[in-house]
Amino acid sequence: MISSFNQPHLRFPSLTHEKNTNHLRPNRNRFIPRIRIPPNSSLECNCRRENRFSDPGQQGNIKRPDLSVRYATAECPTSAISEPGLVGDRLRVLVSEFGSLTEPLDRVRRLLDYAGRLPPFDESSRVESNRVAGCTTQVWLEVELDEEGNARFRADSDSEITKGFISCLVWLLDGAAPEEVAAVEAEDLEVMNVGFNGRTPSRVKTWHNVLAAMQKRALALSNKKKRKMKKKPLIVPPILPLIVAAEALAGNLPNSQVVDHI
Amino acid sequence: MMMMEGVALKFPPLKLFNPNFPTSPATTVTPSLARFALRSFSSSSSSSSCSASLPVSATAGKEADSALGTLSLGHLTRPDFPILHQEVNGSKLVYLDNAATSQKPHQVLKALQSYYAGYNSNVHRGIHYLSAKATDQYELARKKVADFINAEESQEIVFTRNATEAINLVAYSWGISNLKPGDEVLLTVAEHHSAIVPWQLVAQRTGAVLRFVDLDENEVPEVEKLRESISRKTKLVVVHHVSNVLASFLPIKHIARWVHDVGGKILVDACQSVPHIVVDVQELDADFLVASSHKMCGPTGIGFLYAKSDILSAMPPFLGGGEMISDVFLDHSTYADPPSRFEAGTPAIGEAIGLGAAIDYLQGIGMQKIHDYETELANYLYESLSTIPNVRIYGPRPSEKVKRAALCSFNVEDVHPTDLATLLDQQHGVAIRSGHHCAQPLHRYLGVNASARASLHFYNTKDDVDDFINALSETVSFLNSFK
Repeated sequence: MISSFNQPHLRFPSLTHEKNTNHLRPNRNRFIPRIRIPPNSSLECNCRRENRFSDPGQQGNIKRPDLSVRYATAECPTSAISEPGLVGDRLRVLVSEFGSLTEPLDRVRRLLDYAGRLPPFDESSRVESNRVAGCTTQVWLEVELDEEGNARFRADSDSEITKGFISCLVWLLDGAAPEEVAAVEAEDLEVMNVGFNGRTPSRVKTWHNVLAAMQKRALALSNKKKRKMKKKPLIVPPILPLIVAAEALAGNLPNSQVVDHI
Repeated sequence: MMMMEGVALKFPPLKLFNPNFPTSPATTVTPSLARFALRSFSSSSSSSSCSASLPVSATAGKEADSALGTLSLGHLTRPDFPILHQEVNGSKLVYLDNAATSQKPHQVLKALQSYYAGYNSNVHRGIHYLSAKATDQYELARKKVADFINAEESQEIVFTRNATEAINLVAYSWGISNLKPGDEVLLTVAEHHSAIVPWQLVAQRTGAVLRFVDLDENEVPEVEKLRESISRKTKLVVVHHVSNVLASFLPIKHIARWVHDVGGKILVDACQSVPHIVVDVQELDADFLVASSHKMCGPTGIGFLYAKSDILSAMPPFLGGGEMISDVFLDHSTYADPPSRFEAGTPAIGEAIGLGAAIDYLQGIGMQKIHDYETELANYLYESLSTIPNVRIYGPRPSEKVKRAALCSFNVEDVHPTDLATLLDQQHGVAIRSGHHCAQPLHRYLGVNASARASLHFYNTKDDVDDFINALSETVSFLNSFK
């Protein structure tokens, strides 16, 4: 038995092991990232996003971000990031945003702010198969392809700073084609580095691992889908018999196995 | 009164610790005093192999002791460690990760430099002058290690790369040839990975069974349960002397007696004890004992295994190659006597000599003095850390009977230790560790995935602890403000 000394009320839900509840389906909430759109930004989310992750009542609504507001809601309700290079645009926004924060503490503040905006991650999804390996903190990642073949991401961590990184990565890549996801390089996001000195990849660079996992899993799903498409059998309409029984002509169609006494 | 050049004359807070009276309370000194007395440390050393000059560069001259009190051991030794005097991320470095690795005094750096600049040469076989000198110094380092832990003879010390390699040596050499199906190896859930994994590998090959002892209500391995678990089947007990997470001590002497009574052996992981307290292998009656140089102010890349000579003599080789052979034929070879039998290839000569210099330095201060100072630091750290709201410190509470090492592994509710460590480093220059500290089974047992750990050494001061606690408090407030 372990005693708690003078701290009887201690509970560390975020640090305890997840239960194995993978028989429960995850609850999919819509992730609406909030970003601060700098003035004169070319980023306008004016396309529709229709996919199984959307709430049915929201379909068909297009919302442009209000550039005059400090924090705009960048809803990209598109079933696909149909404009090529939108990940690139988002990347520039992210780099510009973090790059303008010269004080490391301000970058931490921004990350912690984004951490708070990550949608809740279902407890049942905190399973070993969703873990991102090689991280000093615990990270869970779910990746799926929507109907248009774009990658959709949901993630969570027990560390707030890591959640901040994840929040940025998900905003950057959610809804992008797997090939666009794979094209992002860790060096592109160096400006987000907070407190991590040195260039050598190491276990502490959790968000490198998360980015790599997002890319790997998105590509794997995409390749799997493509292989399935290739193997899909040709659907041929049924060949009707040229000779039918007299009863069939009379409107009484027996099943095809029965050829009755003609 | 001579003013010490190059010494940072920052007077500590009013309470000072006189390292020369181990059991005395802290003496009080008024800050306006212009004089302070410094003791010569070599007078307290009884090591016959001590060959270094006075270890503390601040003692430009010996001053008579005075009733005015002295600076703490930490303040006195800090000037010897060049690495501690720097800024990181705009703040002065507060290094509190000593359980991971310790810092090196300039005496050790000088020894390494002297070796490579003056007499670097391969050992044992060479005829020429440089080789003879290198061999002498290498073997002298072995003797220093033997004396440091009171081994009977130098031949009982095998140099390895580190403690992990030393444990693997015992596992693959002694373990493979002595363990049979059904034999038991007894460990605790608090062991370091290096003390667990090699035995898992050997158990798979030999059919031996590993048994783990849990913690008691004070978060110390249940010693009575360990005693009860020792039976005729127990061939080996593998235990830490001091836990790198719980900061607890185990009664090695008693455990050794229990296991010897049934004909078994004991392997002591002394990585966290040899650098901090007096360790006497004969008094403990340890069969095997391992430690790493880099945790005891020596260079990385060198460690040692102590084993009783009769045990070593019966052990087959671990690694094969040069140095460990007697004669080599095409179809077989004969092997050298220990310790050479277990030192294949060119050893880390410079590093062994550096370890010898580190031992000289430690002996110059005196291990008992270091132990007493660190006990006071340990209590101060524990009490200070306990003032942080919602903190949970692992391991036993310190008391008259229960001593803790000068380290605390802890968690703060709803704050991830990695976030803490990141901000402590970035904003305050405080270096602590976060993670599982190579003790995943222990963390799983405690019900957490990770913890933060602050660990001290004799060159840390109470000021360091104060800086750490202030920084921690600010960091926790900062992180909580986002919830």
